[in-house]
Amino acid sequence: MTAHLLSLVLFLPLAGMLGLLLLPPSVRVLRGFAALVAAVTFGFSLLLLPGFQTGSPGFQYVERASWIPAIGAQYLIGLDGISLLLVLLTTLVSLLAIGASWNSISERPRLFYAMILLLESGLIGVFTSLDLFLFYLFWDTVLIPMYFIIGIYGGERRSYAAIKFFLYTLLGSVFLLLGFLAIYFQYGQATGVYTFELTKLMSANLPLHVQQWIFWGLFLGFAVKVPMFPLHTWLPDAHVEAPTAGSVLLASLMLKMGTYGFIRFSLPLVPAACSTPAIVTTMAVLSLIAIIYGALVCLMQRDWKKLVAYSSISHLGFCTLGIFALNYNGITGSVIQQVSHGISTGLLFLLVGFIYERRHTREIADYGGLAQVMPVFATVFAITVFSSAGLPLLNGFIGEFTILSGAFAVNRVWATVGVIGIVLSASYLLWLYQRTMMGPVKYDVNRHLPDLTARERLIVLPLVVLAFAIGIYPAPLFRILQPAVHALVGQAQAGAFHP
Amino acid sequence: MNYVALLPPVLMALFGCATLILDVLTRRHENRAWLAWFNLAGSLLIGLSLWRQWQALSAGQPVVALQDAIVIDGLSLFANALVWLSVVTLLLISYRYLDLVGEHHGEYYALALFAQCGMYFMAAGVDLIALFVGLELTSLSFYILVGFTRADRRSNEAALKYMLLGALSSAFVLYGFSLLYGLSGSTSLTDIAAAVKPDPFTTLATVTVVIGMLFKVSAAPFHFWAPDAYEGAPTPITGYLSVASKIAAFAVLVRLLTGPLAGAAAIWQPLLVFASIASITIGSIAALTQERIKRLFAYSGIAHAGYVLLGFIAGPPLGLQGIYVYLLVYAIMNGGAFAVLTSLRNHGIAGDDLTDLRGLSRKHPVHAALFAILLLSLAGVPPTAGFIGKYYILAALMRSGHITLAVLAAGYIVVSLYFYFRMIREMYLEPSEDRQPLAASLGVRLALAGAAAFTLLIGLFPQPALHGALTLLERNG
Repeated sequence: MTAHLLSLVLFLPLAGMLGLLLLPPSVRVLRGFAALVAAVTFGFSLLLLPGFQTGSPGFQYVERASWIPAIGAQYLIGLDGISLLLVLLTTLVSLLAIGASWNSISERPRLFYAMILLLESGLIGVFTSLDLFLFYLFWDTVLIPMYFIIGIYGGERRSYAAIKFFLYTLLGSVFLLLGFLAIYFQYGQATGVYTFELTKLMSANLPLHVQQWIFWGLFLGFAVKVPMFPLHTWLPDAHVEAPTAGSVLLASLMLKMGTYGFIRFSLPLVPAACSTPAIVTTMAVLSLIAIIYGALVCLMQRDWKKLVAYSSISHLGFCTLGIFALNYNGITGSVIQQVSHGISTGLLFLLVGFIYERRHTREIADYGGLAQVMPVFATVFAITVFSSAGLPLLNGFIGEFTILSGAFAVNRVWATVGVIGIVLSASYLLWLYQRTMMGPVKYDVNRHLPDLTARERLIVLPLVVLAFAIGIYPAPLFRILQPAVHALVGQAQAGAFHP
Repeated sequence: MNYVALLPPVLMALFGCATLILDVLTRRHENRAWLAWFNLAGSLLIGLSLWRQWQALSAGQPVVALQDAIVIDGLSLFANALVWLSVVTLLLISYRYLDLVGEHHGEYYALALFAQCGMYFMAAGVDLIALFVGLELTSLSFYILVGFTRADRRSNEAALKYMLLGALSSAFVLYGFSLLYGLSGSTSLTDIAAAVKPDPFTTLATVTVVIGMLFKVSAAPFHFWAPDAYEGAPTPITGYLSVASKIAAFAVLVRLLTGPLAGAAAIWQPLLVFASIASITIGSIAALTQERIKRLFAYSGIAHAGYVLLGFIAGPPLGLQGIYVYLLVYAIMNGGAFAVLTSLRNHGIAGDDLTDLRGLSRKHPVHAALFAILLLSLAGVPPTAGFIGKYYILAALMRSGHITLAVLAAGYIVVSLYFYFRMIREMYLEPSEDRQPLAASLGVRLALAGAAAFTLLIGLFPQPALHGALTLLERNG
């Protein structure tokens, strides 16, 4: 059982997707089945926890099978602390996203739930692949379901947003592929062994200038996904036009593919390039621009959902900043921030979705005083805002604080700018809260909005609990991450370029 | 052993002639679909005879026949197998279409088989005469097939344009062949290989032959006939033309450029670099704005030809592998796509416009889904076979150090995604319109389902297909 547990988690949603195709065309049956599959997948993914050896370095639950010997690609999956957390986040958020679509998807439900499950499998594949070719396959596969989720079920400009999303990310992807190929051939020519196995390629020890070229190839692939400034312009369109479930999956999970890629592939494969001053500075500056720029744009937004979308750019800036601090705190903080962002932005998009279903407008000015009408909603929203703004005792604080302490150790200016970003994020979030929730009820239409239903409360509950849990007692996260991050930092420093 | 080498073309010719006679004898019958099934039975035999060749090849060395004019080696068998696949697809998807356009005649099937026979000699020929006769038999059959819907003015126009430019390209090839003969005093490729040396005549011969063949594979800047011919031809023939004739022409190119003209690489390499860049660029850019599906596929086919040409530039071993894998994948996915395009034609609708796909995902969800898989594959998105093809070409370029070309080729994948997704958008994103159902015969369904299944299968588990293609590559003469 445990021997193939990870494969089970990986392929269960895919099997569920195929199962969906056989079911009768009834919304109730289809959504029920999809939820069941996602719930079972989540359950199995939780089973990964007890068997996971927190102390030991290296990958666990490793499964290996011959796949394409002609090119040296294998079916090779496994987990370390970093991927474990992201897999758990994926299975949880996918389940919640299906719950959030319960009543909002009445047209073509089969395709919708099939795409969500396909996306879930793809994401788990991305976070568990230890073979570059396999990883790339999953990496590109996830684009297809997201295209359909945005394009069919999205808002008015869905068609434009969907293809823009696809083209942008694919453009990054092809360069990622070229980067992978370069490593593959360099390693192959040096050793005579042509393989895509990550742990083998880590020992490639390429010359610095080659590493730098490869770094930028991988950079294009990953940075579009994060998205890093200035490659972020697809994000507002995609997030705003996507249906609630799509926005949640995009923000909570798909953006993490980029940051995960940097951690899993860029750092170990081209360590010397990653630690050259020019690249580190560039990455840090781009991250800081994203932090400040994203926050400033948020301050200007009149559209609730767009504000949340831009806040992701700002928050993901912290993640990339942490990675390129290249020290233990920076990287650990970055992963924790990725998980935290998944939780808090997931909540934000869910809440926007709930309110949109009731009022069918996203204009912030159309609301005001909702706290009187919808007290539970307002409470949850308050928690979410505080968590996203990085208030202590909630999850956001842990990640941001750890990242900044890592950044501070490298460069004080970075940390200072980061702190400004936190202040700005508190301002736009609290201001959003003030404009929508506080004060008198501005419009009569808002006076009778129903509060969160039992289903909606059930959906937000796990995320709220997690936000508190991580904020109050983050030690388990650190414990899970420690060996993996230590190994990464060790590799990065061993391979670092010393002039 | 000679019969092994000659059985397939003999069967093709026999079944072609038999179809003509049977057609005349049964002219009074309304139902003509049996002609397709009759020829499918013939194709089964042809397939078996090709299988016999594979067995002979696995057992030992390449087989030569007709006084060393043709050879059964990995290359010829590979190309012939793909052409065979294309013929089977053609037979499956044609009969309903021909009924709908009211031109259901035995000549159609006969000419298709004669073309196949010609392509057999193109793929297997190792002698200038055999090659040229094969080339001309193929071309002549296709000229008529392209104009087969006599009542349609566009079909006539297409046939005329195709014939004029086709004749021009044949003249190029023939001129080059005559020079090669003059240089070596022999029509055998082995003798020519020994005689080729760097002099102006070799240059001229190489350039003219390569240009002539670039016409045939519809590579830019010799592609002008393709959009018109593709658009005017009956849709199944467009599919046949875009798959089979290209594959046969590429087989000739592989034969010549890795054989007698391998020494002249310095001459044809820059030519092909230019042609491949131009093909990918022109094909991808022009396809962006097409409103007619077959024109779009013509331009996308030009881009695909460009990708295959990149394999020649990368050179052996990986580049040749890339060509093999790409052609295999292309044959399957393009063949399947034309099954869908064929079924768009129905009573009262031409099914030529992109908007004819509108709302297909609601009316025919299975067809739409399978077509979407094929389109993803044509665009080169994993996990489909098309990605494996693109992967091989890109890998070969990276391996041989053509980084700039690799970046360019990779970039145009993104462009091509856009125009393929215009079709997916029509099918899935645009609101459904009340339109007539597809004319999906059993044959169309079979062809489509088979193509989509193999597209996914090769995308997910490429090893068997790769192994097969690469084994054939190793068995080249």
